[in-house]
Amino acid sequence: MGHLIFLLGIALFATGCGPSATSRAIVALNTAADVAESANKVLIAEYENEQNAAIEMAASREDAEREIREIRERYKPAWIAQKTFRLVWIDAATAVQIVQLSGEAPDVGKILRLLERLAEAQRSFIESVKKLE
Amino acid sequence: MDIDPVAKKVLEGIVRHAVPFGSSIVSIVEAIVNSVEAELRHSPPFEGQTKKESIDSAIDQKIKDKFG
Repeated sequence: MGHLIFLLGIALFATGCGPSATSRAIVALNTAADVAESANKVLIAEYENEQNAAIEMAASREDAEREIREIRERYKPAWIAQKTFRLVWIDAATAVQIVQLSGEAPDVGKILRLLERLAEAQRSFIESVKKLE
Repeated sequence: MDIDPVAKKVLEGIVRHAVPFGSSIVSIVEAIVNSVEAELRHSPPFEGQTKKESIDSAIDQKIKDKFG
């Protein structure tokens, strides 16, 4: 649901419908962050649970360490996608904040490109979490 | 019942803006976007949420506790 609103926000931003360009960008940014945070909660819970279960079942220290290494390796792409999403979000949010502070008309093309990058980063992050479920 | 916070905001917005039955998709979408506060959140995503590093160190400690 949140992802849909995020995409609708970008669509409205691109078409120029509805409230001001800055407001539309803010809606898209906030929604993207809410959706990613929901996925992040799943990521954290799964990451912790899998490792706890591996320790429970391990018969020796070597077994436990090997299992933990494998789990951490499998989760690597999701953590990279999470960091990427955060950086892209900060990038886009900074651009919008500069517009707000300067009071000047936003560079719609630039903000749209940043929101498109954000949509892509969000998709990658959510997909990488889904793969682990 | 747990309701997705974004879905809740959207429903509240549709009710608040009294979107009439049979409205065009554009006006519904506008009401949805208008329903969400246009104030940028104060912190970047994942701020304050558990970090990977803190889970890793807790897990490493559990291995030590169990196997010495």
